[in-house]
Amino acid sequence: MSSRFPGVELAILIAAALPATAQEGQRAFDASDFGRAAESWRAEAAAGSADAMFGLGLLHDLGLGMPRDAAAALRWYLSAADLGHAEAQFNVAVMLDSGTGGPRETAAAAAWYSRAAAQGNLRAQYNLGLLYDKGEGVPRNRDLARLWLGLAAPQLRAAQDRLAVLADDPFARDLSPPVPLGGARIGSRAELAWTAPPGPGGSIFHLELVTPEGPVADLQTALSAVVLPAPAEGPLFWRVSRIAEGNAAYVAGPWQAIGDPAPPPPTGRMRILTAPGAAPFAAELATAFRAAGLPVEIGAAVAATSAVEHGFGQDRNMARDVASFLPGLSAEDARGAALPGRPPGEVTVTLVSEGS
Amino acid sequence: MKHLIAALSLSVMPALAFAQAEQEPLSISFPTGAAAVPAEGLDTLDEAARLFRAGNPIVMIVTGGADTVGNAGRNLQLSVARAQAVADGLVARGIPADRLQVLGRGTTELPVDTSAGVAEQANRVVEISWR
Repeated sequence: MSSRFPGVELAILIAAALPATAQEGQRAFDASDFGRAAESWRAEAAAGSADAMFGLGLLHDLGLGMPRDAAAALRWYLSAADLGHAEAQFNVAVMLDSGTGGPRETAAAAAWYSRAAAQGNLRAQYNLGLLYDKGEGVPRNRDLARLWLGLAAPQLRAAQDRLAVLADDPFARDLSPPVPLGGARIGSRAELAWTAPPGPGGSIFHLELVTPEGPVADLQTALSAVVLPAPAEGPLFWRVSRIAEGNAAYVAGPWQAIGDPAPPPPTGRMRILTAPGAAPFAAELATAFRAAGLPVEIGAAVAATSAVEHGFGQDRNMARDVASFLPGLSAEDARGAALPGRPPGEVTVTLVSEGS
Repeated sequence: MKHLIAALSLSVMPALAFAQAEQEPLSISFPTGAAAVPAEGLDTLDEAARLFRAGNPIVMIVTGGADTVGNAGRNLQLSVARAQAVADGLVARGIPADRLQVLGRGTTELPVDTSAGVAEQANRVVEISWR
């Protein structure tokens, strides 16, 4: 090998040293050499390849080079689904939905359809729309049916057709809490799914994803599943609430933990907006409240005076407790404010020190 | 007695389960002379969408039939049109067209053997099977 191009030599050496990639099993499969495909894929699956796990699922599902075994297929699809493989998630959902390879479990099917649908899998979006239209495995919810079918409609004609004839649900009178369906972290993304019956007109979901220290994401959506970036390690918590029109009230679902072992879930949320002069004090305050179990976000103050605010009437007591804890303030200083988009349960503390 | 029966069915179960792993073909029946998928048939198409896994390299065979009422040539065309309508319904649900075979068998190999001119719903059927 020439030493004029050391980068190329290195690349060749590295390529030669790598074990067979997922492509080897795929090539054997495409050539209908199912024995060889199984052998390659077993090695690749042991090394953690979700594609290989999915391939083994296919071989068992269809009885290619081996007897048909729906239960084994489901187990392999599940391994790949746990690693975030969208097609495997769809296949798991279909098998649970149809009771193939195991008992029929429509709620679990809905959870897996939701995760695949959030990743853009068209057939999962369509099937999830069907489940919401009929109320199978999830509460009947034509709003969610409409949204999921709507995502598939540009490419699936059947979704368009069904949308055209979809009935409307009457609006609910009461705000009901969302129910988590499932959540997982895969690498540096989180896949989260929940369900709910129809809400009052103008209500929306608010999704919180936090670490014990502070927020990762706050998202308002009408959908019932998302994929979003998340820290690759460390404890994570998520929760979905339903916010009434005009931020009049909210009802929160339960906190869910991701990652074992998990510390206790958050006891609240806090945001500290600080002027530069008050920054050291803000940092001390953040430490104290994190120790009390609240994820704390720190940002820059825009207001000219110190304040303790809550965006929802039902968080007044929490805000009063925070205000009475702060030097120079009392519980009476806590006030309600219009804070659209802020998470339910959050108290916002603005710190502007004298002369800053 | 109940325990005995439960124990018996458990020992028989594995064999049954293996046989039942082979899914029964789905079928959609049509009114006389019609080739459009009726409303009840749309439910069966959705059943297919909730049964067929992704990444499936197998071949799906959509076979249309007709009963013996009317002209055999017309019935052949009808059976082809029915099978095509069902195939279109599967494709509309995201099942890939490149795995489909569409076949009209006219009034041959009737599910229910009848003489000519007999209206029989079981013969006005499209079956979705696979291998």
